[in-house]
Amino acid sequence: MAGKQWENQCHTVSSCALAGAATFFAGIPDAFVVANGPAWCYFYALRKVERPDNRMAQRFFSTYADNGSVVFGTEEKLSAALDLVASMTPPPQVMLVENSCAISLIGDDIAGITANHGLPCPAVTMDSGGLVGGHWEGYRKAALEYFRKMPIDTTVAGVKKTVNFLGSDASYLYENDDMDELRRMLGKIGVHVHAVVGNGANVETLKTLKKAELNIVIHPECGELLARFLQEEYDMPYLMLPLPYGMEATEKWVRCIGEALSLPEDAYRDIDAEIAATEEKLYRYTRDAQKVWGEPWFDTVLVCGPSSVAYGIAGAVRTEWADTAKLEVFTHDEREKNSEVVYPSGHEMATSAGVLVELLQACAGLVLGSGHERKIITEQAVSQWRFAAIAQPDPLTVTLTTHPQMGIVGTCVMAQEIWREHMTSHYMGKIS
Amino acid sequence: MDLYRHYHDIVGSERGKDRYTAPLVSTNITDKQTIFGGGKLLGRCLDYVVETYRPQYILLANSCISGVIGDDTEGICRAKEREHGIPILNTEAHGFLDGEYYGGYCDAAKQLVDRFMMRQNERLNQICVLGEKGGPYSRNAQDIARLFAGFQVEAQQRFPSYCSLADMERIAKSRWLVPLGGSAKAYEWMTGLAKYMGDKLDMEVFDEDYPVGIEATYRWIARMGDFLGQSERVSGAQQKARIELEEALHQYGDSLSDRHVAIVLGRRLANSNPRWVLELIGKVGMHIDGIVFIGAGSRDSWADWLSKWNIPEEIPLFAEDDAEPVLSATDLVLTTVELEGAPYKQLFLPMVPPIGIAGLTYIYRRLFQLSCYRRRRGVILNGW
Repeated sequence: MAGKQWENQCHTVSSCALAGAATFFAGIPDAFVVANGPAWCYFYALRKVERPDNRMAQRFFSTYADNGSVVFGTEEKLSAALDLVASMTPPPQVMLVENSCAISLIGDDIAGITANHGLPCPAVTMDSGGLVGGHWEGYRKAALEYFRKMPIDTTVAGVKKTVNFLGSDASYLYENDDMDELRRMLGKIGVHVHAVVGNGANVETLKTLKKAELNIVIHPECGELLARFLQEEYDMPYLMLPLPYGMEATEKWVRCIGEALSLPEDAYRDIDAEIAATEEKLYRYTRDAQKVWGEPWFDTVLVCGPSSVAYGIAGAVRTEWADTAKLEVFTHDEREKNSEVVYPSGHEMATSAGVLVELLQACAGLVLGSGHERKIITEQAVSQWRFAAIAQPDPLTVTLTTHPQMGIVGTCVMAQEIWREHMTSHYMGKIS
Repeated sequence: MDLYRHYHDIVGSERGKDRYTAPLVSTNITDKQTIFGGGKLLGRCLDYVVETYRPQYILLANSCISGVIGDDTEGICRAKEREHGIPILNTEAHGFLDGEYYGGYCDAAKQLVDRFMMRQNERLNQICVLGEKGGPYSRNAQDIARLFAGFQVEAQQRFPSYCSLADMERIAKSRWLVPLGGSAKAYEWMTGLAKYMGDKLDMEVFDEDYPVGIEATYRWIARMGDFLGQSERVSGAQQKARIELEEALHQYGDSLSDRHVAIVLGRRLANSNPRWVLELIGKVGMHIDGIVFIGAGSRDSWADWLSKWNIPEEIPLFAEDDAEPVLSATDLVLTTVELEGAPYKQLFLPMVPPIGIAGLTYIYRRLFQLSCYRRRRGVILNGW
């Protein structure tokens, strides 16, 4: 968010690092978070963090800093909040104390205040307001700070065919369904997922990451830095692969992991059979629709979301799910500067929302994105567009059934959505 | 940034087709600016805004960061205004450092008044309402318009939200200013703005907040008649309001009368008068089984608070821990805090009280809907 060119913020998608850092800790079920800042910053972050779990307010607190805090310091208010958290039942196993941007400027020694408070658990302290950056900066920073403060137990023995997931973010759309699907598929080749870091693994599990042979980076924009850190500090190898959107990418994803773990060829028997059967089913079940409506076609497809999701889905659209004359990708996140991941050219929403608006006005087709892009479609009154949600936030979606977008089941789900939009667009007569 | 507002507006039918949303551009201050100052970045950003949007004016809202590092934003705005020939208004409030929501809101409004409004010789029988209350298409805006329906008013304008530059220039032709608050705190800010505008633009200021409750609405109409110099229209306007209420009672009375209700107070706003809730309940023939208080505060402090508003002492008062029997036995629960997972039929009372008879009618409708629910798990409806 910081230091870039400018855009109309009403068209961009990001929250600040305060929310991103809180999201990582929210994914540790026995962690608590204290935001040392004003009410506005707290509620803004809470709104994002509680999206996947509306009980998050029971583990996420604010010091409600005010004008006086800027003049006289936040020690009194912070101490009161720490007392409150320390009294919670069950007790916290780790705590994040994070400063909002204004409070980080006044330079309170929150590490010292927290250390001297006699807390019943370790506390990670950091500045994580908007000056640090956006959601992803906060998530990455919090993940690193956690493992700097909470070392892994290096005496734990490794278990064969066991992996960890890094960089999973529960605030992504359908993230937990995706993790279940990935876990299920790996189970088919005999691989066990020990910890999903930042999305479900508790403090005790995080301490035993060394049980795994290999770390798998899910979303590089969240987990790449942590993967490098764990490799350097603990000699834990990692694998960073294009996400398994579509059947082809799914097969590759599973194979790459299997090969990294030196699995024998017969380990893939079940998963290969399932992929073949599902592909056959996808073909047969869509033939009837194909006769009426033709193969899915959109003049233009715009894919908008976090980079790993947007590029992954764009790849599957291009090779499996639909045909299109023009495919453009808009990423919601600000990329980590030294990332090893190379994506094809695309746009960053923070600086290119205007390009998106122009495309929406000039073209027609399908938008795969979040409620933000749906909002822009509504505002621009451009009815020639179809839409399907692939990213948060999306206030117009309630999904109560299992709805992964990744893997074998995810391929069926996404193909189904794209067929629906293709047929509806024809039916509505919006696209020639 | 305004994502949820967008969807709320659509749900509440508050989004007009012609609604304009001003681009919101952030300078994107980084750590670097906190050390070396953000003036240059602000200047470049203002250049970008001028070049990209060609606006009629720019309003600069300062964050708490800007306040802490102490940039001379006023000087930068003046310099850029000279350079571009476009008004650039600098607000003095800095994030949470200088008051709360209404501090910044009224500060921005005063900047607009100072820059774009001047006294007008031509005077029209127009009212200008101050305060947003959901925008020009909102139910609240319609409720406010109904309050003036019995009087001879040529037009109703609004300020400062949803107000174009051309609208602002016309506002000073209005004879009357009516501030809208909804709480004592909000009203204090809005009436301060109204007096500022009244003095500066020679407009008459109505010194009462919008009416909340039945009798209050009749009194408000009488006072408004005097204020507008249209006392002869008061009885007619009051009669319209009475008919409106009778129609609501006719429509919902059969379903609501003799129902038992409990009131749950979970947030104690020092200056919020809960009497309208009791009046609403009594008028339709419902019975109050008790008032339940939740959260901090002793029974005595709650009793003192209720007596301040002349709430009858005979209404039983329950602490949260003792409330289950009364809440389980009652038909409907009117609450200021969601009782999550509870098997009650709850109406979430609006933070901003309903406006006039039309606002109360809406609450009756919500209570009627609530009474129709048969779900085993309980339900909560919003009263706004």
